[in-house]
Amino acid sequence: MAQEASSSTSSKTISLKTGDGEIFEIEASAAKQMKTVQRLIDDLGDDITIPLHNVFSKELPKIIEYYKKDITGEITKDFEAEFVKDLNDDEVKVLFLAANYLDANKLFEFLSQNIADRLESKSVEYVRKYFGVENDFTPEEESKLREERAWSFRGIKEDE
Amino acid sequence: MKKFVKVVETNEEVKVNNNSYIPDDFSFSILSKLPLKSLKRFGCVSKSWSLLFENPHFMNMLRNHFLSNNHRSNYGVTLLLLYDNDLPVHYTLYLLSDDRFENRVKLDLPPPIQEVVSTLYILSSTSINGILCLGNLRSRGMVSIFRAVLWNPATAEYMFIPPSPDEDVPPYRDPVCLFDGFGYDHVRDDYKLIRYIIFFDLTDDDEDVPWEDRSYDPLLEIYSLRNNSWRILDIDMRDIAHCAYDQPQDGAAVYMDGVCHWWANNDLFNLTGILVSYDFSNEVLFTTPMLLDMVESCDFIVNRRLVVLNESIALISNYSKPTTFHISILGELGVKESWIKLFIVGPVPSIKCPIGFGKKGICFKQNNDELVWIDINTQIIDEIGVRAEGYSFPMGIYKESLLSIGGINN
Repeated sequence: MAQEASSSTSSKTISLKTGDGEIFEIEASAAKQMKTVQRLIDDLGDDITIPLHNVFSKELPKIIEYYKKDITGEITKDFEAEFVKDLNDDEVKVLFLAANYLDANKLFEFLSQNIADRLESKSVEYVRKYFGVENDFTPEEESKLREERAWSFRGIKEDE
Repeated sequence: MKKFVKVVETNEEVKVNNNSYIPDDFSFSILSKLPLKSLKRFGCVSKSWSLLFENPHFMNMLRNHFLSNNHRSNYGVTLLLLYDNDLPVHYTLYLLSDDRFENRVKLDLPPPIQEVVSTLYILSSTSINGILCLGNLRSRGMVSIFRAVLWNPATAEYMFIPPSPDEDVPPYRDPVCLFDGFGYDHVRDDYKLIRYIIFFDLTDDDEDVPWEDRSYDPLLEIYSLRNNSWRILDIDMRDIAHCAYDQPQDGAAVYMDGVCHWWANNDLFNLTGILVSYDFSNEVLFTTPMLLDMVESCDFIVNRRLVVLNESIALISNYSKPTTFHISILGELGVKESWIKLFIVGPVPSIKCPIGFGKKGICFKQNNDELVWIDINTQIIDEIGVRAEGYSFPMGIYKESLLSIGGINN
């Protein structure tokens, strides 16, 4: 990484190293949107390659793509729709957790909404698996609750 | 937003993989954005999830999401109709693009409406494809005469709706409208008004019209813009004819997705009620009886009012002693067990009634007619510096469009 004399943040790029050892560049202004990255920059300096142990080469480029668009002020509903169009539910979850780790609030909120939209009509079992939650009901307790809330199951295919 | 940090000591791959557990704190970020029906169903996921609605942290997030989502830009801007007796033009209509009243923009009412000093209101409190329907009640002797005008503020085009031949006719009876609404029939691409009228006897001496020719039967009528005419609907109204309704000018009607809804109180204590709904496309009137929980700590219910909040039907119950407002959301239309209590505001002794919802709070009218914001998280009351005399017009929604009214009515 060439040493740069202190210059305006807009032209500076930061190097990020993923948990699986790959290096990506982002603009300093985009890095500001990821509070974790910014904190690391504040501690380690902006000339050092910032290590991100919990983010990997599969998802970081996508996150960088989002914030590149964000700093130009061009994030629209269409862009966001396109952004998640080809991702499956698990891929979105990985991005969501990465956005949380990076403390990238705008992306985090957007992905939260997207996941909510995807889960809206899903079955109870699907949601358990997705969130990694264990069922701590007894069969009797669960069937009693399902009966109480029967109206919320109308129109839902329970095997999806 | 809590950080999820795993410290990696070795080169060992710590993958945030497909089967990773999502801790509660950020699963709430997702859950708070789900529709209420889904949230209720997912209560069956685990014990802690079944108690979501009792978790104060989660409920805070849910409330905040409901309000902020209600104001996404594609819904339109807030409309506020204010009345001031002291002004030469009594009514002023404002657009509020954010919660800051200082930034309000005045909309010029159609010229014939500007002279109106009698009751003016916006039917269904919403624009439909850019068109607003304004209702006006004028006194003519002992009788209140209704007229309506369709108006597109963006093009300044307006059109008076012809009076109903059945409503306005004879001198022996006084028409009183129990409920009315403005809606859209998407099957016929037509804009419609519905009105339910009951009649009171006006005369006690001989009139031109003999007894046998008189009719005091209530009237359910529909106006169609395409046909530019009224017609009577043949629907049995017995279930709801005896109920008490808020006056149309108080913003009693709400419109959502092709259906108008009204709240009918059918008992003295406002404990039960009936949700009356009219589907403009299928031309069907249906009723859903509702039984709601009485709140022990409050003395009695003064009033209940429907609003549309975040694409859901919500009911605001105004309790007195102490003055509190409970706002419940209907999880699923037609399912009386699906009411979910979302907001409680109060006790607030100075408050008279709700006016509308902002991004972070609810707008109320005080007993002295001043408008205030109440923050839902802190319950702090913030004076706006605006007065709203007269009827308690609710805030409306307006979304601009250049649709031509004349183009529909050929």
